[in-house]
Amino acid sequence: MVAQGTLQDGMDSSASSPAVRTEGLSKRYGRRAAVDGLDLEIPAGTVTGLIGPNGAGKTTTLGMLLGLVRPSSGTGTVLGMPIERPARYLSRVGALIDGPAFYRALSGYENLVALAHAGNHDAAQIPGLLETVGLSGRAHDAYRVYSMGMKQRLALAAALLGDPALVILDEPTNGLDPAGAREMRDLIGSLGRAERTIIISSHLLPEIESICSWLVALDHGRALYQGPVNGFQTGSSAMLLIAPEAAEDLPLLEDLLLEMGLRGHVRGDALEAEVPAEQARSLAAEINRTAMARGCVLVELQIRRRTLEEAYLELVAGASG
Amino acid sequence: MIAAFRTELYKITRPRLVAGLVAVAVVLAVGMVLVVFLSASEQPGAAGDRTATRAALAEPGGATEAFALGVSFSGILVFLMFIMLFAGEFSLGTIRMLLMQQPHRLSLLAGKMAALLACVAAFLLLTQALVWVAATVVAPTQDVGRDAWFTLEGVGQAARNYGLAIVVVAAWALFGASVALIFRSVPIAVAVGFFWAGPLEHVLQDRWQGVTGYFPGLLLETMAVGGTSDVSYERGLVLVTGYVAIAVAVSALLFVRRDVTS
Repeated sequence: MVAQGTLQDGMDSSASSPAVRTEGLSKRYGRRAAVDGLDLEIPAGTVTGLIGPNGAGKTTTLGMLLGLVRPSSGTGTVLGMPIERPARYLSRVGALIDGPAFYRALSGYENLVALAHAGNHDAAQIPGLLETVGLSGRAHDAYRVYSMGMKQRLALAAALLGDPALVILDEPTNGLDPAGAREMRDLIGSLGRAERTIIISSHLLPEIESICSWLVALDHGRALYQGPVNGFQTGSSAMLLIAPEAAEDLPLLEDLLLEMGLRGHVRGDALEAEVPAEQARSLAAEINRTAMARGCVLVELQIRRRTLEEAYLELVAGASG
Repeated sequence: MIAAFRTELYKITRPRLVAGLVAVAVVLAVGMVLVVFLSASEQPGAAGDRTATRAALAEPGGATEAFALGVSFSGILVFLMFIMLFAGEFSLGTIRMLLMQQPHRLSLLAGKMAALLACVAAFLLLTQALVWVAATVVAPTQDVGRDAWFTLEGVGQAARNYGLAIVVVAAWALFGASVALIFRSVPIAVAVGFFWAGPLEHVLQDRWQGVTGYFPGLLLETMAVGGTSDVSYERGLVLVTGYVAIAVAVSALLFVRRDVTS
């Protein structure tokens, strides 16, 4: 069963029809299903994260949307056009899939000109795109001497040729060092605008958490969740972290939590307690008031919601259990 | 198709690459002329010996004789080059970048092939012109007359040599592209193509002389010299056209139907 968020929660109000919709989309290799009856709906104007472990079917799904992989069954639309006719919509789609791939002997600029010719795009936009991705200074160097970060940025520039309405980025930070990955995330974050949809596939959940508003979680070729990122993370519980000024006050705080029907666990000089997510704020205030009244000064009181990673692992565990 | 043609043409007409190709054409032309004219003899050699005589070189087709003798070699080179160019798109992953810009797969294929064949045709034309120039310079030093070269018949013979070269080299090119599209890997496609066109056909030819009239590589060798007493040029042309049509149809069908996951 697929967990669903509400469509309106994560999408721009101006967007009407979904950017991508699939019904029962499947891809089989022999007896193995890489994508298994996938029903997907990605609202237009969102930055959507497609998450899942290696082998979840992310790249195969994107390959089918891009006309590179032929579906075994099922249907779908991209920008309102059927996926059986990719030529009707690919001129409005930019993509980086399976890593950057360019001609080694050509410069970054020349590679983009070649692709612009192939897609009938205006080559005059290339200097601007190179500026956007921060490659202007090295545009005329041969692609073969580029670092991994530069190759990824060039691939991003290629994906932006023709000012596409839909940008699909498959593992855009693969192979980048932490600084490069952050730079790429910032860059991708800056690409979003009301009428443009961005789909980013990744197995690095913090990456998705930081830039996406909409989420699709895949496992074994099926969607486990699709909806707003916030809805996915919130879940049913949150964690309260409570640290008293004096460590000897920990038993007093434990008793206080028990009186409120909560169980606290000592973590170093603090207590941790799982609470219902919707009551987290009011419980935190109540704890603060009561502790103060009993002469216990708190130096830290924090509501920690589940990270995307924790939420995802919980979802996967639930699905397999 | 025009978009794919422009893309390929842009790649192969970059100034550095063009300068390199011109240099190669000069080296090939001068080298072939020197080999042919310096090895020219007074009397014809034994049967099967393709060494030209000075008298033959003084005939209308003498100026481009060196070019005609190099056609078979050029064909094999183009065969391997096309394998690498087409299979390389899969090995590098650039094919998926191109397909995302140009999803009409047959148009992409046709445009790329047309641009590369146009480049090969231009290269052959340049090489033939350079051979003519080099031959004109070298001929007097080897006591070879040049008068017949500058007649209408001489020009016609040069055009015939060029036509032969284009047909043979284009057939090799199409075979190369087909092998590449079927195997989609440079090392595998080169190994299979080289093994088939090189050792396999010739080993079988040594054992059964009759295969000369059937195998595509051997037929193209025959066509490169304008046909032989055993296998006419026309027979070679008909059979090779059939083989090319089958190879192109199979490889194009596979290219259109198969997933691109590289």
